[in-house]
Amino acid sequence: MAKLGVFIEHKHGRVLPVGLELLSEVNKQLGTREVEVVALIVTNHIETEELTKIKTCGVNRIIIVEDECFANYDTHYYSEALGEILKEEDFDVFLIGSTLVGRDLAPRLSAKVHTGLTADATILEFAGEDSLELQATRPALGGNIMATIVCPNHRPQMATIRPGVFSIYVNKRKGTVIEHKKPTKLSPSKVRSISTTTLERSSVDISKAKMIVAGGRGVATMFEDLQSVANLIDGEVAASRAVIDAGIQARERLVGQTGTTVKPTVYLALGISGAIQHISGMDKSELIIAVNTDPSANIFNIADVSIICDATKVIPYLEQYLQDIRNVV
Amino acid sequence: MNIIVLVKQVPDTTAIKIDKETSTLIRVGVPNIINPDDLAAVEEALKLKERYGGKVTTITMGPPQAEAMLRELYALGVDDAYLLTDRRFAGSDTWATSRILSALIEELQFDLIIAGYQAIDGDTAQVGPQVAEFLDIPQVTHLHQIVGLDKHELVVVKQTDYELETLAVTLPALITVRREMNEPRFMNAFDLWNCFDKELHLKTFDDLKLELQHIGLAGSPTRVKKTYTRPVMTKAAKEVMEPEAAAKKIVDLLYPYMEVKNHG
Amino acid sequence: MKHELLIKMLESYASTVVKSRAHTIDEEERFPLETVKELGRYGLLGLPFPTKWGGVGADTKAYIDAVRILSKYCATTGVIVSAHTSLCSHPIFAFGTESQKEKYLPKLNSGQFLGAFGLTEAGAGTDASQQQTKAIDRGDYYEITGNKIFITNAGYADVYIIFAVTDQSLGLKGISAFIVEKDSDGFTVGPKEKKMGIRGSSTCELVLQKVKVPKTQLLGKVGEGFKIAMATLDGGRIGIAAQALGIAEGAFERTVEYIKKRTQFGRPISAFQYTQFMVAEMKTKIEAGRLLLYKAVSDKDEGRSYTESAAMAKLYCSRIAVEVADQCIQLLGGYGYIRDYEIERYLRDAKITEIYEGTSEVQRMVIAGKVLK
Repeated sequence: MAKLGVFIEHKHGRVLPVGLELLSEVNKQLGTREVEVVALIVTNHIETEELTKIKTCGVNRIIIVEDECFANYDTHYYSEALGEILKEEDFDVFLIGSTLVGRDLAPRLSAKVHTGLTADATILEFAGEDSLELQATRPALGGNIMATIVCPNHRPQMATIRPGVFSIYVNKRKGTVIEHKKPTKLSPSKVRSISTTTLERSSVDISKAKMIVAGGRGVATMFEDLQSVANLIDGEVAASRAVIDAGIQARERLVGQTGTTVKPTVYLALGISGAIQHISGMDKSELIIAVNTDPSANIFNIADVSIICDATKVIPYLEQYLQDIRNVV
Repeated sequence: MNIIVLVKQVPDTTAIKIDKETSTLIRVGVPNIINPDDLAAVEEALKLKERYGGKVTTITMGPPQAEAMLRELYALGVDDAYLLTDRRFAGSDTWATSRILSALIEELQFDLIIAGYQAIDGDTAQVGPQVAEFLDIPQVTHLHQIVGLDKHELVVVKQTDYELETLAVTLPALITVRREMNEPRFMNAFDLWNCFDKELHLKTFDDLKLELQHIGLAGSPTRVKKTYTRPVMTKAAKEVMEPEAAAKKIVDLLYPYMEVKNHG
Repeated sequence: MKHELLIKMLESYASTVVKSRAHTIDEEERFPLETVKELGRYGLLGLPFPTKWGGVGADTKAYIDAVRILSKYCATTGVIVSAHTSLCSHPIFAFGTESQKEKYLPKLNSGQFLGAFGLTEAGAGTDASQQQTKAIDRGDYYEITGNKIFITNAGYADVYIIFAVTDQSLGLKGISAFIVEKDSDGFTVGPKEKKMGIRGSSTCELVLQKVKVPKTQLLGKVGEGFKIAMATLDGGRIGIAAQALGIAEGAFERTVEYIKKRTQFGRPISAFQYTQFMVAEMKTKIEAGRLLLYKAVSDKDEGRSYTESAAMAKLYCSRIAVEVADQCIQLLGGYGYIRDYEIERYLRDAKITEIYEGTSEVQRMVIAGKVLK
């Protein structure tokens, strides 16, 4: 029977969603195919309730590799431990979430065991009749194309998968076995941790934002709400010239010919008419969504999604729906 | 300090457009640039050289046209630039590429290898760690800052999600850096004008200790089965909507881009 | 290939860093010290001088490309480089003794020192021969007294090439050149002039009160001063022509971007034929200016006399800079008049190129002189 392994990343003993997302998707894609699904955790300690979360997403076996040195992620300890397991277990497929840890660990591991690794897959498919073949699809060339990658002659076929791409849902398999393993003697790591600090939020630089919520004259009185919306999507607030000149927003937030040029992934233009001086500062945004009451507003000529509506009425609903999502995730 | 920097020449992916009629990529006229993360790596290396003395060597694997990029690296102040170029290298995935790079590195002296975190064409972030594994040296990836040398250790700050971790790594080691880490210097006229007299070190398969079975398409564990362009978002017609429906539509569009916090 | 790579480097630096400062240094009339530091670091203050003297070892073309491209984004930055290189470093290189070159060129070329040129006086503009500043021979030093006006880089320069009369009775042959250092006793710099354009550039009066200048600081031979001044200005002219051309190119490029996007009457204004004709004319003027400029450049680089070609280049490029900048403002309409849109500055900057380092009238005199000799 084919064997598929999923690395379950944890932080301070709490399982990260990505491992559970992977298990959920694997079970979904495998359907009725008979495959042994194995979860692997490398840690110093794991709570039972965390193990229950893993079980809920559908595994046949959970392997817990335990040692004090695994308390925090370390490339050497984790890759050595997993390298051993991969040699013992003969997985057909081994998946890791492409978090920063995953992207540090997976390539090291793939070089160690001489196998192929696909990075940042967003689509997983399983093919093959007698053997389990992984087809992992990922964006490439800066996101301009999608590429489907396979690993025909090496095992395990490895892939890292973007967090947040797959949803989590219940998939319980019968009779999950839990195995504890101790690693064989590991040489000391050559990396040592000195200290950790939480990141401060830096001062405003809208040119670095991936998501921008921009307001114009039409929503001049609602910038506090715009800030809430921006916070909910980890974006930045920007404004048109009229708003800056009225002193409602600081100059750092001005988008346009005499302000900042931005190229975010998403530009949400609320109540902005789209004067050329503004447009020249944002027309290279990937996805432009515009809301304006005036059907002849110039912004609609460059927007990907054009909505004729009163932005001041849309904003409260936006806040609500986004908050609903954040309450869960 | 002897520092090796891994530098890749890439197409400027931000300049690539999709032909909306045929849904194919328009690659003509897309300029080649130094991969931004790698340029940051060069800058860090030059800064370390200014602080501690030593030498900065760059290694690039690429087609012959990458020679022009080596001149730019010299114009930045790099001491030695290598180009690994050979038809037989073509088609290499990250595993094979890392093998080839490691084969040259093994012949050079180094205290530190700095690589860009990822390339803007492949976006895999795999070569750095794979090279470190082949050379059996420690790695620290995704750095925020290099603090400095402390005897035989390099003190660095790693940026994880919402945290900064200060670490010390024993040299020789490999680190990866991102473009946000620094403002790369511009080429300077002194080095630029005189770099055309400098030797470009070109190396082929025959110059290195490599096996044919480990390079190129044949040596690559992964294969590309197919590629396709993403469906182009055409500008939809203007829609009159009620506020609630409009908000729902906007949220549906935003959701894929929102970061669902997959970290501790 | 070297020139192309240098142009790439110049564009990458000028279109980002220099461009980002241009507006504020104009508004604040602030001399961009931080830019000067960077220019030195990147070798842009020593381009056409040999590596033996700490220069880059490049040619006139490379240097002129630098002035032109810098001026596209900031005419102030362009003139800082031009005045320093053509009017100070060059005469020391061309007429200095070995020890003078050793003493000053490496520092000038690295940007550690900034240079300036002091010829103009209240009564000696176009008629530069009317020098009143006197240099009295006191045995082992000269004592210089007089006033110079409209000196570029004044107040920030470390080294000034000063012209003074050593023998009144000899007329033109009684003028000599001196290298004067900024901290010399009796040497003061007046307040900055408030100018129409290149407002970041520092333009001041120099007051010399019995300044003791050692004989070792005499540049060239006694009585050679006027010849040195004229030869220096010949080269300086090419620099100013480059500045002017850069101004024209900068204004033109911004305007072409704008007219493609600005719509009136349901179309981008670039769709109107009159606009198109204006574009064609400006483009042609700029190309003609470019050819005159680089003809003067190759005359100099290839060892031919360049007095005439330099004068033609400056005469023409300065005129078209003013014309092109004016038309660009017109194309931007009301926005063209608003300082924040960074187009009206080009006209204010352009005008001086018809005046300094030899007015356009002087250029005509030079050209006619060559033709009718």
